[in-house]
Amino acid sequence: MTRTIESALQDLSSGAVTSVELVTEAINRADTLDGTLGVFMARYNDSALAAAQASDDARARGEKLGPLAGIPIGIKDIITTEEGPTTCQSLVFDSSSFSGDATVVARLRAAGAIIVGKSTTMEFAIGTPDFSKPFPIPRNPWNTETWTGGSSSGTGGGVASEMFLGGLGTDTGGSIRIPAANCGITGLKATFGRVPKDGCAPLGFSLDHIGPMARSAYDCAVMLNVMAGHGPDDAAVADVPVTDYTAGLTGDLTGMRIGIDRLERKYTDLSAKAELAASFDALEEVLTARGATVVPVTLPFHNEVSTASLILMITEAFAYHRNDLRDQWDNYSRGLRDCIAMAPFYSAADVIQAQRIRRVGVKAIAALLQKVDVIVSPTTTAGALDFEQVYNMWDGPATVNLTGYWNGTGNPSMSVPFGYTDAGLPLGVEITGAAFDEATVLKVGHAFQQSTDYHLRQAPALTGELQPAE
Amino acid sequence: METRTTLEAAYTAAGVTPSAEELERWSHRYGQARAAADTLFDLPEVKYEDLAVVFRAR
Repeated sequence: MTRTIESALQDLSSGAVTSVELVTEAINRADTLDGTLGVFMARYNDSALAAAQASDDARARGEKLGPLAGIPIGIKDIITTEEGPTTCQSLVFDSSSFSGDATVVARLRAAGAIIVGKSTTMEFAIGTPDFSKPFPIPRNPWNTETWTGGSSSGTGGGVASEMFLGGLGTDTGGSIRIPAANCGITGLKATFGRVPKDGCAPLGFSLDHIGPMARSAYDCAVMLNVMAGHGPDDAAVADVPVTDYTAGLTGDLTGMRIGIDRLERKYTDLSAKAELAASFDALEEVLTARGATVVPVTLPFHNEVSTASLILMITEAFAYHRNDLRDQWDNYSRGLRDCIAMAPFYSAADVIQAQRIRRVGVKAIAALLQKVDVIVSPTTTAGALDFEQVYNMWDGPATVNLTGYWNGTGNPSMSVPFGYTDAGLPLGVEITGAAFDEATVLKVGHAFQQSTDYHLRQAPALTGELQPAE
Repeated sequence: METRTTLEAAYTAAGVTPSAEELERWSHRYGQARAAADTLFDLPEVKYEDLAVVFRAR
């Protein structure tokens, strides 16, 4: 049986399992699989077991517990935790510059979550894995010859291989949603400003988001309940009321209008065209059966907003790293250099125009979302890439980025698994809503998952059919 | 060669020193990246648009 946060909370409440048992399961799985899958930068077994025991003791005493009491959680290693240093998976980053808990980690901890470790990424959440650097290479639990995608690679692989039940990712151009899609799990990029980002190393400060990754939309809702809301230490966090994101998860979509853009115009020769078409056909049937009306839509200014988002991500990142790039060029990973060293391609006018384009996109999407409740589009055009494709990713159209569009507009967007390639690799679909309306996004994702089990299917790494890495 | 010269100047101005291999490889990307950036100036919808405020806190 596949554990979820939802089922684990029920089992903890009924006494069917203890937090120590959950954490021990997670540790044992990591002992077995992490050497192959490269999920962790650091593991906190002792402190996690101590926290789990404390949680079980509090439960036994009948104390009031937080909404994530006893649940093992992984944290992407660009977000600070009090258990150990944050490395950003970099030889350049000064880990002494971060200490203590980020606000979002403190909120999870206060809700009773058990922090089991820091998960892998690409250096500073950008680029590609670099085999020449002394860090783990994240491999996909569905096929270890392929990458998890990034940059929340370890969090995606860790949830899919059940080394923790939920985790934190960050998303500047798709870094929650892409690994969620590639690993067959659910990942939510909430609205820009919905979750405070202090204590998180920046990539593109106007595009960065922290969000939950877990098996299901329900699990993401439970986590977002804890993570969302204004905080004093992030200038960009919005003071917008939060709600109980689990409250609307009824499975009923009666009266809702759902716009679908399959984005076939973006497909390449490498795209899983037939599999995506079949998955979309099936998805439309499910949503219709749940009471929704499905209508075709066209995402406005898709090329322009996507280009603007890419320019801003690259240039904002370059601004952050410029002096270190001057002094420590060779210490940076090849993939990071490949990406953010494109910044000098662009002029100041390009950057300003990108911001203006973005505003046009925000308005156009807001207008479209007056006509439909959510918009559904593919997260990726193909399954997980193999490492040769990854190595050349920035030099050619190995894949097409569909997710950065939503970083440019800032809308909440969640990837849910909805099919497989012919090679058996998961495919994901994005559900996107109006600004600060995560509740509707989660409602649609949850309803879809009431009729499907893609999010619960276990990867070969868990079923004993793990394909070993060379 | 012209693209490579342009890029060399841009990197020199930024104070970073890519390897010859990197410079060569990135030279092949420049045309496509430049063309994509140029399309951002072609949209009439942008003419009267202010600078971005993505979402204002209510």
